[in-house]
Amino acid sequence: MSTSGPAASATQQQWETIYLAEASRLMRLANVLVGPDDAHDLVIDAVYHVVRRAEFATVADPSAYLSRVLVNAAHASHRSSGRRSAREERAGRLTVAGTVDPGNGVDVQRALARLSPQQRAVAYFTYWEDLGIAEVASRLDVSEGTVRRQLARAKDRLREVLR
Amino acid sequence: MNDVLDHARDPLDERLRVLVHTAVTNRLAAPPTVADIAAGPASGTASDIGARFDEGSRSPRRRWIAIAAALVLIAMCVSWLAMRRDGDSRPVGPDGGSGLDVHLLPSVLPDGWRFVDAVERGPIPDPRDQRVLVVAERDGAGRAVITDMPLTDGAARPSSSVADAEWTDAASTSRGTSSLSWYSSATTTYTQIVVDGLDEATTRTLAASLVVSNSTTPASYSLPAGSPFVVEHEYVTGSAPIASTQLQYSVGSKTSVTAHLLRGSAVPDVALLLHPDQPSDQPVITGSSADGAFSAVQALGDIAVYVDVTVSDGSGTGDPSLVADVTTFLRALAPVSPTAWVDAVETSRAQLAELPVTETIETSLGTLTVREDALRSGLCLQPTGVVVPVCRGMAPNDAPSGGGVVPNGVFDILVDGDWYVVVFGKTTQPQGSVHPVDGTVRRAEAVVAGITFTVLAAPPGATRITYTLSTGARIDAARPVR
Repeated sequence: MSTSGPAASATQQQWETIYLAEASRLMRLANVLVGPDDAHDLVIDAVYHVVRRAEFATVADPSAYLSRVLVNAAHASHRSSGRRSAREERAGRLTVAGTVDPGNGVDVQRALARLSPQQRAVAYFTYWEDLGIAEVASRLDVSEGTVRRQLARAKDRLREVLR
Repeated sequence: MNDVLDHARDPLDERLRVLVHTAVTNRLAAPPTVADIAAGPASGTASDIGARFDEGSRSPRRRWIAIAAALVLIAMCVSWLAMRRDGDSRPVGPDGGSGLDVHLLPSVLPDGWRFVDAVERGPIPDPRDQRVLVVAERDGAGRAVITDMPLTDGAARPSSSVADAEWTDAASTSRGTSSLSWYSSATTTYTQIVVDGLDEATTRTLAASLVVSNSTTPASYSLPAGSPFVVEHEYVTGSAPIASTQLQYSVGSKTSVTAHLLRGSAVPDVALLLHPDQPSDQPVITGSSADGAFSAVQALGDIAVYVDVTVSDGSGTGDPSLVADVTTFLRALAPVSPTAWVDAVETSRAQLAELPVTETIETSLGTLTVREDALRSGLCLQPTGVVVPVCRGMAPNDAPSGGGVVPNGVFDILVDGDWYVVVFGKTTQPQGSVHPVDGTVRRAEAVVAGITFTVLAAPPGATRITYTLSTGARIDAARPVR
C-alpha cells in the first residue's frame, strides 16, 4: 500500500488501524447499498482510493468519512450501471439471487433496488444502527431535512411491497 | 416531521427494520483484509458494482429532470451564498508553524533514481490522541505495541470484548505484523495489539491479562503483578504536532519512491517500537515479500524516516528488487544546510517546468499544465499575470490520466509567496468537486476530458484553509513552508 502527500506516513501508520476498526461496519453498510455479491468489491474500491490520499490523515471523523465515501461510491456505480442494467433486464440476462425476507415475505434485493443509494444509507443508519435524525445527518453530512425527506421517500417507495 | 421515526404509529417502520436487518445479514461476508485494500480494486470492478442490484433503476428521463432541477437549485444557492459571504472577513486558522529545523538529502542515489521534488510542511495537529503501551516478554524476544484509539463519532459498534477479539495474521497485512483487535466499549474505544514474535494464543493471553483504567482519556492499560511481560514505554500520540517533508524519486517508468521525513518523537513508528535493537544505520523494512509492496522506516535521532514504494498503475504489485535500493537510500541520508536543500528542490522544479507539455487546462485563476517525460511528471501552475509557471512533482499514479475520482491529486503550490491548492479527479457528485469553506478563498474550476481541475487561491498570509471535497470530507490544509 502506498500513499503520497504531507502526512502520508502518519496515515500509513494509522489507516490500517482505522480501517480494521470500521471494516465490519462498512461491510454491513455495503451489503445494504449494493447487495452481498458486490459489497466486498465496493468496500475495496472505496477505501483503496481514500486511504492512499494524504488528506485522510486530516479528516476529523474518519468513521463518518468512510461511510460517506462508501455511499458516494455506491452512488457512482448506481449511475454508471443504470443503463446497462436496463438493457440486460430487457434482454432477460439479468439474474438476481433473490433473498426472501422472512418477516415481510418480499425479495430483499428487489425491494431495496427501488431506493437510491442515499435512501438505502438512511435506512441502514436508521433501522440497523438505530441512529436518530440528527445523527444520520451527521454521518452522511447532509441536513436533517434531507434525512427526513429521504426516509419518507424510502417508506413511500417500499410501502406497496411491504404491505 | 418526527413522525417518520415514530415506530409505534407506523407499522411500516417495523417492516422496514426487518427488511434492513435481513439485507445487512444476507450472505454477509468477512470484510476485505488490509492486504485486499492495499491491492486495490480488480480491473473493471467499479463499473460492475451495483449492476445486478440496481435492476430497478429510475428511467433516464426522470434522472435528467432531477439533475436539471438540482442544478437550478444549486445555482440559486451558490448565488445566495456568494451574496451572503461578500464582506465576510473571518480570520483563517492558527499559525501553521515554522517547519523542520533539520533538512536531509541522500549523499548518493541508487542507480536509476532521479530526484523529482520535495515539499516541506509545518506541524500537522492530529486530533486522534492514542494511548500507546509497549511491552516485551521477560523471558523471550516477543514484543507488543498496545494502542487505544478513541472513536470520535459516538456511533454504536457491535458489542465486543477481549474474549472475542479478532486476530489478523501477518500474512494478510501490508506491514507484515500480526495484530489482535477489539472494541473496549461499544462507542468509545478501539484497541489493537500489534505484535512481533508472539503467536495468537500468547497475544490473547496478554490481552486478557491487561488491567484497564478508565480514569484517563483514552483509557490506559497496565500489566498485573507477575505478568510474563514488562512495560517498556508508554505515551500518548497526537498531543504533539509533527512537521514533515516529502521527497519524491522516480525509478523507471512505472515506479516512484516517496520518502517522508517526520520529525517528532511523540509519533514513533510501530516498526521501530517492535525492533528496538535494530542498528541505527539499518532500516526496518516491512511489507509483503510475496507481492513486493513494502515500506521502510529508520530512526535518525528523533527523526523517523519512512519510505513507501509505489507503483504507478495502482495494481499493488511492488518490486522486491527495490529493497536493496531503498536500504542504500536510507543509509545515505545526511543533514544538509537549508540552502542546499532549497537549491536541490528549486533546480528540480525548474527542470520539471522544461518538460514537454501533455495537457493544458485554462482556469480563471491561471493556466495548469501537465508535463512529463519518460521518467518524471509534474503539475505546473501559471497564475494570471505571472510569467513563469511553478511546478510540483507528480507520482505517476497521481497523474490525471490515472482517472481516479476527486481527489485523485492534491497539490500545494507556492507562487511568489501566494498559496494555491490544486485538486483534480473525476467528479462523482453533481454539486461539483471542491469548495472552500472560508469565503475568502477564491476558487476556479475547469473540466477537461471528464477530469475536474479545481484551483483554490488562499488569502494573502493565510496559514490554514478549509475546504470540502465532493466526498463530503472537510479538509484542514496547512500552508507548505517551501
